Amino acid sequence: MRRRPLRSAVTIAGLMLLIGAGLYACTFFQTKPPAAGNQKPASPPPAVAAPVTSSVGGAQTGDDYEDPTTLPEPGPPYAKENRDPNVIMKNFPVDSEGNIDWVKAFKDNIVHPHESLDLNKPPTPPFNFDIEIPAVGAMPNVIFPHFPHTYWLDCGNCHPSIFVMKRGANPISMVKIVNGEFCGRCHGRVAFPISNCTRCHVKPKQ
Amino acid sequence: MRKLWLALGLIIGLGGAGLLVSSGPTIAGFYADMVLNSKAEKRGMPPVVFPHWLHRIEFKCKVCHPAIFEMRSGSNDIDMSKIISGQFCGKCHNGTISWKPVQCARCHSGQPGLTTGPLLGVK
Ligand code: HEC
Ligand code: HEC
Ligand code: HEC
Ligand code: HEC
Ligand code: HEC
Ligand code: HEC
Repeated sequence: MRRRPLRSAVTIAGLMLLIGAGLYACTFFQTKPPAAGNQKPASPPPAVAAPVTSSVGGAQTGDDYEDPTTLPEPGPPYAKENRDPNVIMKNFPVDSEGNIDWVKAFKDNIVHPHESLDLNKPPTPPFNFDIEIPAVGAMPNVIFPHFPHTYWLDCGNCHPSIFVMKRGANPISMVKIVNGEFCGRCHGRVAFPISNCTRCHVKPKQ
Repeated sequence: MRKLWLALGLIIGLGGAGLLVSSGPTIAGFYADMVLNSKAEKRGMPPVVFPHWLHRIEFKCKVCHPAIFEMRSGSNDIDMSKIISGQFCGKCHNGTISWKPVQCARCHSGQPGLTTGPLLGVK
């Protein structure tokens, strides 16, 4: 009997948290940006990436967009017209975490990014060269694939400013990666995030 | 019995707390969006939000890095006169490759107070 106040206090705290969470979830779903369809309810969703791919070369005036004299609405213009990533990238492949898998996207011919602003420049073929980076401890070893990296990037993006061009010459560690050095310069900011361990740690130890 | 109640309360409480944390604040945006706000807000414009996802559908990283932009947040000294004279964003947003930089809100689309760097709080 003595402990009763504690017990009910804990139960009440739990219930209040639940109610709070419920309320929070409601506002969360309401403030989500409206789907692109909300603006023109009758029209079918636009073809994937069509508005983007058609833009290079052909000048777009953007007159259809919005009045430049009005104050901007806060938030990126994603909910407008077909600038919503959930519409444009609807059919893009995703990895096990649900992030866009840009490697699969170019291998499956879904994206065709330009190599250069000079359309006459011949493309440089990607460099097919895997390097195994041993991980200390029980984690499977890392395979660093040059192929997807040199598809998107130049050698000069990494060598020599981020990595010395010599196997094992870079003091890489997971702590440094999480702090935004080495692989963390891109992974976790632009390329797939660090939380997806299994895309890097692929080679189990014997 | 007392222990049961305690356990029940704890489970509900922790569950509720977990829900709160996991559904954290989300704002309109997408993974890899970059905020540029070294000068914009000081000079009375909302921060610039640069969407990587949209540009990389169209261009490989090597088009922009390092030829147009240094690959580190905040290390590019960008201002409007440079953009209008064809540097940085103006290499493309000049009416030939893409739209002219006349509709300010298309780039200056961030909420006030964002700091230069990756846009936080998106999924
Ligand atoms: C995304 C970054 C990145 C890019 C882009 C990149 N590399 Fe590398 N490169 C690495 C890493 C990481 C290593 C391994 C370093 C280590 O083991 O410490 C490496 C190692 C090397 C090595 C050393 C291999 C050895 O056995 O010692 C050579 C040679 C090399 N790269 C050539 C190139 C060339 C040529 C290109 C352009 C076609 C290129 N790299 C582009 C990240 C990159
Ligand atoms: C200069 C930027 C950059 C650096 C530095 C970098 N990466 Fe990447 N990496 C990318 C990009 C861009 C992709 C394409 C996928 C994406 O964007 O999600 C990629 C993809 C990958 C993939 C996916 C391959 C696949 O087939 O799914 C692996 C694995 C990978 N990186 C490992 C590493 C490792 C390990 C390091 C550090 C030694 C590293 N990366 C450093 C930019 C980088
Ligand atoms: C972008 C690629 C990448 C991702 C994603 C990644 N790692 Fe690593 N990790 C590395 C590399 C490269 C090394 C090798 C460092 C070295 O030479 O020891 C490493 C090393 C390690 C090590 C060995 C100890 C150390 O600090 O060097 C551990 C443990 C580890 N990673 C755990 C993880 C866990 C857990 C995750 C997921 C949350 C993860 N890693 C995600 C690239 C990655
Ligand atoms: C259309 C041009 C463009 C393209 C294409 C592009 N970027 Fe960027 N990138 C930028 C701009 C602009 C910034 C912000 C620079 C600043 O803040 O000064 C940036 C910033 C970055 C940063 C710095 C992030 C930080 O927190 O320091 C990284 C890393 C990066 N980009 C990687 C990539 C990778 C990897 C790709 C290819 C998948 C890529 N970028 C494609 C324009 C581009
Ligand atoms: C390499 C060329 C290039 C560079 C450099 C570039 N952009 Fe873009 N950007 C494009 C293209 C192409 C589109 C797609 C436009 C279209 O579909 O009409 C685009 C679209 C956009 C969009 C999409 C929103 C909308 O309403 O269409 C924003 C925002 C944007 N750019 C901002 C920037 C900012 C800010 C910079 C400079 C930090 C920049 N861009 C630099 C080529 C570029
Ligand atoms: C192509 C995208 C883009 C468009 C369109 C654009 N800006 Fe900017 N603006 C930028 C970027 C990027 C910066 C640099 C942000 C920073 O680092 O603080 C900037 C900075 C500024 C600054 C602060 C620096 C300076 O030059 O004094 C002002 C003021 C500004 N913009 C006003 C405008 C106005 C007014 C318009 C509409 C006529 C406009 N911008 C349209 C991209 C754009």
